[in-house]
Amino acid sequence: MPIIAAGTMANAKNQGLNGADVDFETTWGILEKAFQEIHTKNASALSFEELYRNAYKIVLKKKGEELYNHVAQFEESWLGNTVRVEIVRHLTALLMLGEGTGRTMNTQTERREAGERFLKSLKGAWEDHQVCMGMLTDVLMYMDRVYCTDHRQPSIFAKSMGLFRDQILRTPVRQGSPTLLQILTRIILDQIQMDRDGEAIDQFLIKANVYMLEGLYDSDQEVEDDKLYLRTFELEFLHSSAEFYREEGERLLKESDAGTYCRHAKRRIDEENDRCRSTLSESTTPKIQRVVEDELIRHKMKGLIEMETGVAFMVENDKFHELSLVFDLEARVDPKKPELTKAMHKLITELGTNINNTAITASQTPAQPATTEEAGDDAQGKSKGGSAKAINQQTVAALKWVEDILSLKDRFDHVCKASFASDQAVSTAINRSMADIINAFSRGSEYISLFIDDNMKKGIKNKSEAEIDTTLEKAITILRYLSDKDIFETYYKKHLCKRLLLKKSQSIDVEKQMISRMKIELGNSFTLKLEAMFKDMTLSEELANGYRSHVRNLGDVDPRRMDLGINVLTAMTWPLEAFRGAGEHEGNEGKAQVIYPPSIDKVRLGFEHYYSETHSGRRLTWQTNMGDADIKGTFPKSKGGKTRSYDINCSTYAMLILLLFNDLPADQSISLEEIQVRTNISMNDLTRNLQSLSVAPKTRVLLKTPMSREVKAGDRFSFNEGFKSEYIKVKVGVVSAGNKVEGDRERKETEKKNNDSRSFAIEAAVVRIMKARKDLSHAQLLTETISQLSAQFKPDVNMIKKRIESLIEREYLERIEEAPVASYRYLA
Amino acid sequence: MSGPVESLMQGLAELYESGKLSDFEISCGRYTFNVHKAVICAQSKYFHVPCGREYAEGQRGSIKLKAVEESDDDEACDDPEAVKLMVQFFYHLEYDAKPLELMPVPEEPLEEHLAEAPVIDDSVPGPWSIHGLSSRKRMNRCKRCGRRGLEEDRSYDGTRTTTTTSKSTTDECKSLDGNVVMHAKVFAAAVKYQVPALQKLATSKFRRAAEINWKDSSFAEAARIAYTTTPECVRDIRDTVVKTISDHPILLQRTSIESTVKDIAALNFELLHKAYGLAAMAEVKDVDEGLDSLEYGIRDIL
Repeated sequence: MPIIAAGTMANAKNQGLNGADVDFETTWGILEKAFQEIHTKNASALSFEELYRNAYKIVLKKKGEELYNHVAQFEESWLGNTVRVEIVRHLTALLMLGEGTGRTMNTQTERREAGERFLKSLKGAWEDHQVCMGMLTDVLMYMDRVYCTDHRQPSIFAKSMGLFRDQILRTPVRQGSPTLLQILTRIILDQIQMDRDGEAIDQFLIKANVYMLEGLYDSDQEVEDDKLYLRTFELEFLHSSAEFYREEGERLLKESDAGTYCRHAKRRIDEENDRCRSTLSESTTPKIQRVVEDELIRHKMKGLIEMETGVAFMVENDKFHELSLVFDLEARVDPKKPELTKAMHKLITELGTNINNTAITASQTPAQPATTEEAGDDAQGKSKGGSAKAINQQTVAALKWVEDILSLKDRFDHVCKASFASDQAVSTAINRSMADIINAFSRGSEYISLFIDDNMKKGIKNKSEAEIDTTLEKAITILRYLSDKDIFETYYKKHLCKRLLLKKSQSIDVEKQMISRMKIELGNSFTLKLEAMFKDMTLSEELANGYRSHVRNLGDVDPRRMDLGINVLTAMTWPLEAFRGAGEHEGNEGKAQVIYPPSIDKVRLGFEHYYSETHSGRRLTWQTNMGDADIKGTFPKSKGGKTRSYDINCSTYAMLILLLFNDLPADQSISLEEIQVRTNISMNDLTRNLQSLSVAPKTRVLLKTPMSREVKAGDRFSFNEGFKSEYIKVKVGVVSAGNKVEGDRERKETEKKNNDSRSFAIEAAVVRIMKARKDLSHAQLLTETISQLSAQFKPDVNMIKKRIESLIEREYLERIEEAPVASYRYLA
Repeated sequence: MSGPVESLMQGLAELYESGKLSDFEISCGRYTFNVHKAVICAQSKYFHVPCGREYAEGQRGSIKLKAVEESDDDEACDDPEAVKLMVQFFYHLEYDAKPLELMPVPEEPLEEHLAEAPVIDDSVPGPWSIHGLSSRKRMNRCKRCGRRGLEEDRSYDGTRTTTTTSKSTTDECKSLDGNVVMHAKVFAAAVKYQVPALQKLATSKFRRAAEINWKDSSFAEAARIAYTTTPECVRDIRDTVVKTISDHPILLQRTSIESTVKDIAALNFELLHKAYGLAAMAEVKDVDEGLDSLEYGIRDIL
């Protein structure tokens, strides 16, 4: 089809249909003259009808193309010969010198004014051109419609805009010098720089020129992306802005403080946004914003945070407002705030590690001399005393650790709230960092339990309910972060056990509150055993009362018969091993029962008999080492005095020892070995108890020969008739019966026990999963196992692997040989 | 009874006849029209300019369109009759070309034509062949008429039936709407003054007139006007000329047609093209859309 159409054209032309009738030159002469008038703003006398009719005639006679070209030529020469000359005249020679301009100009004001003159002349030329071309387009309406549409030519208006671009903007002012477009770009950038430096500029003038650049295109096709503004000016603008802000940012980082920097950066961004609106183009807003953000924030964030007056400084000095500025800046460029969270993490890790190290140092320092002294044989007693002190100091260290960690957390929580608008990303980072440092501290579980222990025994005395609440909440807060909850459970059980049995707890109510809090926080399974311990305590009380009334009902009330208080503890629930002394950890399970004197043994058997009547099939094992006894000690008259009698509270062991002296004449003595044989108390417990009875000055009811601080083999003991005390009630303490941090050996044992129990937990989890899934790949099994156990502890992958091996050996599982990836099958 | 469109049409007709509130003047040859800028500019892009302030016309408030008789055979000038019909169209969205025999009757009031119109258009079957139709109905019918014409054109295969139908109506239509020359002139004016709706209306009127009056000697004149005063890319009316001649080859024996065809190379070529059964010269779509868009435009305003 196009071929035929073209043929038609050619045909018509060759035949010169009516062509001869049109005197093109004459008609064009009329139009040209009128165009001249229009361009010189003298159009009001022109007859539109005549002009239109003439243009119409030319097109009608198929001279559209000639007319189009003539108009284009007319515009080209008008722009090139008249308009450009006028603009160049306005262009001060100085302005054209280029880069050197800024320095050679006398003053900034002069430079600005020269620039404004140029901008004004260009703006005028552009506006005139627009108006004139609008009028020409009206006259040439018919040509545009018929000729341009038909021949796919740009409209005469578009064409003339291209001519303006080529003739005015792109032609060098003179040979080898920059084009007006380059000069224009440079002048606008220069003015913007002045604006940034705080000098007032004519924004409207620049806006008009930007408007011109937005109205022009790189090519005659007028593609939106090819706007001259985008292609030339904007690129330069973004580039020079990037350079400017890069330097400014670097300078500020060096010269000012972080707070000022933040305020400055914020101001600059706002300024650039305003500038786009008032001086440049709105379409540039996101781009320049990106540039400023890149240069002042994204690339500088790290430097800003690490400044001397940076984030660490701000946190240290409670500069919450400035922190919030830092936060705002980074939030602007990245919702994840990577640098700030990194900084928070680093800061918390640093401070947290300090706390951890301090705690370790505090717990080790006093232990130092003890270790050296232990070499000597006779240093044992001192070592004991020393470690008693050490234990005390370790408890203090534990309490301090917990308080420090909590205050660290409080501080950062406050920062997060006050400065970071409780931002999710940052608070997650803070929490994770807290968890990291808490779990990085190997004694974390133990220390938290000790903290609770101490509060239960002393801390909550004389405290209001609200205060107690806060204390409990503190413990829970820190507990939340702990990943090895099973270890904590072990310690807590141990400490709770002692509190309950030794009646050290201030309030059973608070104890129960704590348990229910843990239940909410850590789940039912966690507190199951702890609750069982409380249940045992209650049952025991009932049992003891029952036994007492049983004894009363026997009728035969023997005034000398001993009263018995008893706690029956479920062996699986209570961590009884905790009460074995440090020295007895090995092979003492099957040790022989201690030997009770008949009076005591009678009571014991009586109770056993009573118990087996109500609970058949249960075996009672007596934990003598945990008991205590109230005995009355009577001492003969001393000179000028009278008979003294004291209520002595001591351990069960001490009671057994003291009872030996009842049958002994006052002036005789028994050797250590003899006591051991007659009581069958382990040597370790024996020496400790004897030490309390014969060395400790306030409770020296026995005399030891020779007198020394240590109890050694071959020492002999006799009744101290001259014992005196200010009080009626005398409490015989046993060394190391108090609360304490574990010794190294204890810790190792706890760890070993813990590993064992973890092994069981892992195996149980694996079997549970496999039972449900039947077949499972190795990787999946690992993932599921870890997720199942995460509430209790973070399992070690190697340990899981070993457990799986063991389960395969025991034929719970088998490997699926043919599977492409390592997989297991459950064997029912 | 009268909807918003009817009211508007009636109001426009009154304004035109009374010349009330007129703010511009169009003159051509012996005619002078007192018009309203808003009305003429709504339909013609051309008149935006003289109605503005840039040129002498704007300051005077009048435009004088150069008439053919004033100049020495210049195709760029206008026939005052065509200009008159164009102005009529601005206000009525319809125009009435004078019948061939009667023309020209310069001072005849328009109202009479309007009254006559329904009778003449009775060739179109429909329920509205009564005297004294409202403007609304007239307009509707014309639109229908235009559409109908187009449909017929597409299905037209030169069978005897169609021809007889045309013939039976010839006598009536010849008297008024069958003025091919005038329709060609109105069409040229519509193109020149950029009135797309009028361009479409004139096209369909020309087509119907050519179907009826192809035998008339005026057809040669109409063909010449079509080929000399409209641009090549505007196919509407040219296609009708070519089709009419090739449908009635007997025309070529007539001297007036012979000289016209000989003179106009483009017509020559297009006839040849048609004779060899090649496809139509070009598709013209944009004009068809003109009238519809105008009507929608009015609806939107209301």
